[in-house]
Amino acid sequence: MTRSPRDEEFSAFVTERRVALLRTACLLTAGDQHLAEDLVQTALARMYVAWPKVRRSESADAYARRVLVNAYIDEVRRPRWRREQTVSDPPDRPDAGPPDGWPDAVDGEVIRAALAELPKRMRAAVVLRHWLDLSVEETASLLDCSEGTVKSQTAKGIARLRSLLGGGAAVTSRTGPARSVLPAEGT
Amino acid sequence: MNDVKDMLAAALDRGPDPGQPVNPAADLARGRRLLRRRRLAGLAGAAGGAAAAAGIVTVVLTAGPAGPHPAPSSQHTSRPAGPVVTLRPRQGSAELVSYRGYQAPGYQVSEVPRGWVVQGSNAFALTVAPRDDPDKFVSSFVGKIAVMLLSRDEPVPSGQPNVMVAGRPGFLRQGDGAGVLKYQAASGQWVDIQFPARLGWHRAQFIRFAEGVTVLPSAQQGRG
Repeated sequence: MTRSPRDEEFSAFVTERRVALLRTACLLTAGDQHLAEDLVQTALARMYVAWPKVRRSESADAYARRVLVNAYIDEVRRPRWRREQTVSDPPDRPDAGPPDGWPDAVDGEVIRAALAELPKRMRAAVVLRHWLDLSVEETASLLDCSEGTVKSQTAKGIARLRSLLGGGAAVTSRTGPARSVLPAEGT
Repeated sequence: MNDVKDMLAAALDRGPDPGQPVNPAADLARGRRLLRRRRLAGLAGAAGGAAAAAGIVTVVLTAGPAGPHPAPSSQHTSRPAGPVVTLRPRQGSAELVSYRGYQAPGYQVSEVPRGWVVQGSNAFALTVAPRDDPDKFVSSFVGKIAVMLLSRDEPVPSGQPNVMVAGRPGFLRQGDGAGVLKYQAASGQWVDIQFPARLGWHRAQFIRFAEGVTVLPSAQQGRG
């Protein structure tokens, strides 16, 4: 099959940016790689359809982020996409331990479990602000909410993660020694 | 801020590796398929529009007592004065029919798409699916209509409602043929109904289905 300029440009974009989109999607889905892959496939297919608009946009990356977040919000609004079942109350989590017993290191599995505890939009606010380094304004635009909501959701999300990960928990980085995970309250 | 980023990076220890090679062929194929479907849908829509322009518009006479010159049962004007005009459902869309079959705990439905049945419910959601749907798992909503109360984790919709369901406010989101309708039921509870794209419905059908749903006291709000 002959390849059009749209095909060529789209293929180049996918080659360069797909993994980054998939990593963001993995965080949005709290580590559900199957759902993340679904989201990225959906987002990229929509981008291909809208490629003339992508060309006209200021940034293909920004366009991709928007499409991905829209796909994510669409999905989480459909419980059919929930891998877990709805329950009256979430199951009790194991006690994180006393304050002086916080772990020195937290592995990815624990962090993913903590992320999964956040309501979806709160998780999205945290990921957009702290992973993608988007501004409050950009995040509000993507999540279709007010800037105040972004600020409060992000702060609550970080506080909740801190609580779930044991307050002063540290993280073992693949590329370096253990270090503090979360900033102190109010920073 | 950077520490949070490190924490998030650590959550990707089993995720895709930034350096892994990517073959765009599958994404390209999916994109082409979606574009082809959209174009076909556009052609079908244009054909439907032409038919409507030719006068195939159903006019429902619900405009109160007929005057000395009753409105015709169909007409060519695009803006009839008085009668409510309802477009025919999209070609190939599922027709809503009265339902007298099995009702599951939590909710009652009075109309379903033709050939669909109430599949069952758990404490939190009810599913309506084609009679021969191989997926009989009630908690799986793929390709089904799912009726539930608004999650306890989700804020009550605010802002200007874009639909009314039996005179009460509702918020309808549509995309790719699928729909999510959240509305306030007579009980004051907020109901969340999710419709699959395969129904091919438009707004009036989403609303009509919702108006046939009765929330029973046994329905419970879920989380998540």
